Formats: sequence, structure tokens, C-alpha cells
Amino acid sequence: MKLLKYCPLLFATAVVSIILSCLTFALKDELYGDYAEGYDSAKMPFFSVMMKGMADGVFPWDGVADIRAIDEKFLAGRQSEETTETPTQETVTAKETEEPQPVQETEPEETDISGNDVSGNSDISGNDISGNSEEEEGYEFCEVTDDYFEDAVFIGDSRTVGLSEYVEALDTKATFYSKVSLTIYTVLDKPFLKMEGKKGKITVDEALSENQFGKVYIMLGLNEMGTGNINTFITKYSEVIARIRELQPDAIIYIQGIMHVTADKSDNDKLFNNPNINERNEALSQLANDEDIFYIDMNESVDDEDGNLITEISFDGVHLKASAYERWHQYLLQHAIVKE
Amino acid sequence: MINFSDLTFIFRFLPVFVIAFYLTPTKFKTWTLLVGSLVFYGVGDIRMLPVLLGAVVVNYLFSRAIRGATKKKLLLAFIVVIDALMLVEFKILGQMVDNSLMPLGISFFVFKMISFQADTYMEKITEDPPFADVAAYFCMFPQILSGPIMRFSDYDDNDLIGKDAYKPELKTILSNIEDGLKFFVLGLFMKVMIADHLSMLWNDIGTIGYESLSTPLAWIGAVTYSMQLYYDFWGYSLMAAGIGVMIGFPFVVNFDQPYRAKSVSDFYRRWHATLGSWFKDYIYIPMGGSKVKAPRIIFNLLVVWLITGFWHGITLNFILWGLILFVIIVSEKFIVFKLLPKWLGFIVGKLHVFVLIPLTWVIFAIPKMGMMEDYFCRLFPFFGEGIAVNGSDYIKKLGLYGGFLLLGLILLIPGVYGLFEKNRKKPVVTIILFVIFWICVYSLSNSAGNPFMYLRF
Repeated sequence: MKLLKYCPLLFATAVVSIILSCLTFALKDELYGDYAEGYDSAKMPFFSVMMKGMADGVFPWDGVADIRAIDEKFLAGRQSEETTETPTQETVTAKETEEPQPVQETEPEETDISGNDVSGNSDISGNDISGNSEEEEGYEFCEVTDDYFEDAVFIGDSRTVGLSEYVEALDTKATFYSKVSLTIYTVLDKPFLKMEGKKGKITVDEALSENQFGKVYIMLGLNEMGTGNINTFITKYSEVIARIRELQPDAIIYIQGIMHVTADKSDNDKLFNNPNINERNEALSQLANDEDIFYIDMNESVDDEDGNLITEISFDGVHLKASAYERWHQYLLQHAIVKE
Repeated sequence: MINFSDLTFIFRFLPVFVIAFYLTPTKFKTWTLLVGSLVFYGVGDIRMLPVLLGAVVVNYLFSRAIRGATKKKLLLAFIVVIDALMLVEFKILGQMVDNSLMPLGISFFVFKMISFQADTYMEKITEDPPFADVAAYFCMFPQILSGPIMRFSDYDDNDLIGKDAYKPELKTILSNIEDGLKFFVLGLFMKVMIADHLSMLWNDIGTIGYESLSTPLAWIGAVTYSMQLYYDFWGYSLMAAGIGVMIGFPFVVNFDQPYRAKSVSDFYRRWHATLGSWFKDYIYIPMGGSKVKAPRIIFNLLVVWLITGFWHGITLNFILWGLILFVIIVSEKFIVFKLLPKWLGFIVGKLHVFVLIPLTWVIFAIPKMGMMEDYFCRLFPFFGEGIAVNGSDYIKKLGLYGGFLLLGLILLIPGVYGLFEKNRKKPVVTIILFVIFWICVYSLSNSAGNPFMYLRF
């Protein structure tokens, strides 16, 4: 014991490491079950599991009883791939049928959207909406001025934040409900909006209940590439659309395809790559009904000839540089639906 | 694992190594250090391990030859040229072909080798050190990645290894480890809590695009990058020196409060000091140093700074960076501190440190000439206008990162580190270090395995 006085820091650190490891071990099946699942022993010490949990507000002294509530809150984000099979059209449409509109003819040959065979409905995904044969009064995209955005709200992640910060014309006209690292799983329920003259922060759900808009633009989906799979994503997306429809009965809803990443990023990333983005965009385009929910894809304004984000207009391969947001703005100006 | 701020290094490799080191009988401790270091290197880059081993063996043989030879100078010149060529060649390979072709830490171990040969030649190393010692000196894992470029005499000062080694008492061992750990923790804090967060801000600035920065943000960016580099490298150096202390080496000072400097030449005596003194001892002084006529001094400085630039990287910006420092240092030597009145010289020198140095770091940071031009146009907006500039961008960034910037600025005050160094044995400091250590571990736990720490969309 006398030796302790030569090394208090060493001793305390060693003891705490051991205690934390034991504690984590004891709680690994219950409280920290979700976190222990993804634990890779080659990459970090065992108690990191607990620290990851603590970052989400799950502390060792939280009773086991609370687990349920916490689980529900974070499971969506941390979904470990239950089945990583290629998603099929059936699952998408099946879950959608009660949703906005039964756009999709459930023909048997339509079952595979994950592949390249999208011939059956490829024209829906583009900007040409004539493809939907059931459409009676087809709306055409037309060019508008910035005044069009007076009653528009943009919902999205850091990319939409960038749009608000670097396109003044949009920022002054439209409303932005956007936040860095926002996902489709958290978009409605995360309180992050500061309203003028009010204390605290409110959720998008609340904000949309209080304010009515003529147009709702959504671009979400990149942050989600790392969690869950295409099915969980699309299911959640369609739920969100349904809820927005409910809150904003008269608004035109624009589902924006997820913006691509650069070729370099795409080639070197297992998750955040353009084939994955295209797959999800294809599925997103199916959520449109071309009556009051439209799919638009701004990628044509920022892509090179190979369908990757142009290298020169991005620093990190993911975000547009400030000077390139104008391309997106121009695209929006030229792809508007005007209803009389 | 081969990163001092990696949790597997801190909680696995390091404790296992230190315990193994002290359990090894005195006679074989050098071998434990050598083998541990080779394992460390092998985990990082197994493909290039043969390059390191080859260089070690060749340099060992040459040093023996130099010691016994009559034509010492020729042999020295030969091995120095070989070492230098190896470095240059791998740098070019790494730049032109593929970055992974550059062996880890080559810039550092080659400089150690050259210093070893020169010291042998100048008979600063008198005894004939055995192979294991020479190899362990070249390869020792606390220094192999990024220095400090310790001299062999400092290696030799470790009484726990080598010929006259003794068996330490348990309390000596424990206080060695304790003291080293303190430096390590402070270094870890600088790296993880300051440098890594500031690098996120620097990355954000890149994301905006240099042509679109507001002028205040461009200046904040220059400060940010300067501090990021400082705390990243100072933190690393403290961790490296701390590990050295744990196993009996003397503390190697690599950063001595550079921003306290009175001039740029003073700055570079304090910044990465082991590199600076390497250049001084093995290039500048052999060329005549300052004891020659003015034009020759200028030429000597030019050579030193061109090589310094090249050593950091072979893209144009590093050469430009070296040349600009050369011009500033020459102007200081022959104008500022020679012709100006003392008080004015003082002010100009301080301005150099606080304004010119951050600007030179911007050059250092941006390898592409066009982008560098954009950046300087935003720093000095009268050179040209920006595109899609959001004038209030800096307010947002300060809101997000202001705390980290402030922390960096506080540690910049010369007294703060001195206070730590002087009082590091006191309980208060121990408690503070304990707390910041676990803050770092917490932060690392939540960013480790998450490659997107810098990329949250």
C-alpha cells in the first residue's frame, strides 16, 4: 500500500478501468444489449460499450425497467441489419398500400427494383411524369420565380442546411426545418426548431401542425445509409409522408432524390456510394403519386456524365461547396408544379 | 492500434508492453524494446517492415565501419547519401504512385540514422554500441511514427537498458510510469479534445469552399489550422515523450512554447525542436553556420529551409512554405533585428509570430495552388471577391467550436504548461489529469469505429 503514493494516477486509472469493465460485463445483456451487439473486440476496450450507451443517455444506474423506453427511442437508429437480402418490391408496396396512393400496380414482374431492371417504371423516376398511365390530369414541371417559395418549407439534413445558408434568395423566401444529421427516423419527433417568441424547441410535427405551407420539400436519406436497410428506410419514409399529408392537406409534397456523392467517395465507401443512393432513390420515386406528391431528382444539376457528384464542386465528396448550391436552386426553379 | 490516441493502444499495447519491459531481466530489456517496437511497426505496416529492417542493418554495419576506418569521411558521405536517397525515393513514390508505398515514419527514422552516423563520425558516440541497442534506438515505437528525433546520447542516458543497466526498485518503476503517464495524459487531451475538434472546424471550412468564406471566417480558419497543427503535434510529442519516460528515457522536449517566441527564427527553435536542432547540427553548422560572410549565411539558410520544406512533403506548397520562412528569417537577421530600433524590432518580431506564422500554416495546409489563391483572396478581400459568401458564417462556427478555440488559446498562454510541469506531482494536478483522461476516453469511445466523426451529414 505504501507504494501507492508513488503512482496515484496510474492506480486510479487502472482501478477505474477494471471497475468499468466489470460493470459493462454485468450489464452487457440487459441495459447495454444494443451496444454490446456491435462491439468489435479488436477495435476498442470492452467498457467503450458502456460509454457509447452513456452518450445516448443510458447510464448504469438507470434501472432495467427503463430499457424498453430507451430501446424504442434508439432502436430505429441502431437497427442491426436483421436481414440484408435484397429488398423486393413486394415488401415496399405491401407496406405502402394503406399509404398515400396505390400508385404501384402490383404486377408480378415488378418484384425486383433492386436490380437494374426498372424498365417497367423507369420514366417515373425521372422528371417526366407522363409515365404513370393511370394519371388523368398530368401535371408538368414548369419554371417559376423565387416567389414560388414564399409558402414553401424545406425539410432536410446538412445539405438542406447548406441550401439555406448559401442561397439567399431561398433563405429569405422559404422556411427551413433543417438540421445537420437529421434522419427520416428522427425528422418528426426531434425537437430542434426554435420558434420566434417561444421558449424551448419544438418538433417538425408540432411546427407543421401550427403552420400551413403550400409546398413541402424533403431531402433526407444520406445519414440513413449506415443504419437499417432499404425496407426500414422506405417504410419510415412513407409513414413520414403520410403524416405530413395529414398535417398539410393542401400542400404539394416534393420528395427529393438523395443527392449523389463524388466518384472518389462512392468508390471507396461500402455504405455511402451512388449505387446504394440510386437504389434508394428508385424506391423513393415510387412514393410519388404525381398528383400531390412528386418526386424530383436534382442530381442532374450536379452530376458528371457518369452519374457521380462533380468532383470540383465538393470538398468532402458529400456536401456541395457553398458556390455550387445555386445549381440546386436553379433546378428547383425549373422543376415546379403549379396548380391552378 | 498504432496511434497513441487509439484506445487499443492505450489499454492494450501500452500496458502489456510496459509490464513486459519491466518483467524482462535487465540484460534483455533492450530486446524487449526492440521486439515490441517491431511488433508495433508490423501491425501498422507489415509490408514495409523489411524496408525498416534493411535500413537498420545497413546503417549498423556502416557505423561500425566508420568507427574503425581511416577514410571515415568517404564512408560517412556514402551512407548519408544512401539514406537520403532512400528517403527521397520513397517520398516520390508515395506522392506520385500511391501513398501507402511510403513506409511509416520514414522521414523520422532516416533522420535518426543520419544523426547516428554523423555522431559516430564526430566521435560523439565513443563506445561501440551493440546491435540490439542501435536497432532499438532506430525503431523504438514511441518515436518511430513522428519523432521526436532523439539523439543517441539521450537513448544512452537510459540506465535501465544497455551495458551499465541496473535493476530498478519497484518504487522507481512506479514513479517512472506515473510521471510518464502524466505527460501522456496531457498530450492525449491536447490531441483528442483540442486538435481533433479543431480539425472538424477546418474540415467544415473546406466543405464551404475557400472561395465562399467570409473574411472573418477565413481568419478564424487560419487560427484554427495553426492551433490544430500545434496541439496535434505537441500532443503527440508529449505522449511520445511520456511513453519514453515510462521506460526510463529522459524527457525529450520537442515543443517549447513556440508562440512565446520573439521572432520566426526563435519560433523554429521552439517548434518541433528536435527537427530544428537536427538541421542546425547536421546541415547548417557543417556548412559554416553563421560564422561565414553574409551571402554565405543566406545561402546556408536557403539550403536548410528548402530541405525543410521538401522534408515535409514534395508538393509545391511545402517548398513555397519553406521559401517564405527563409525570406522572413533572412529579413529578421539582416533587417529587423539589425537596423530597426529595438522596440520596433520587438513589435515586428511579435507580429511575425502571431500574424505571419498562421499565414504560413495556411500555405502549409493547402496543397493546391488555385485553392490557396482563393483562400488568400478571402483573407485579404481586396484581392478579389468571393462567391456565394454568407457573411454570418463565422458566428455559426464560433457557436459550434468557440469552446475548443478558447481552450486552445488558453493553453497558448506560456504560463499554463509551466504550471502543469512544475506542479505535476501535486494531488490537484493528479485529479485534474484523472478527469481529463476519462473525458478523452469517453470521447474516443464514441468516435472510435465511427469513421464519420468528421463527416456528420
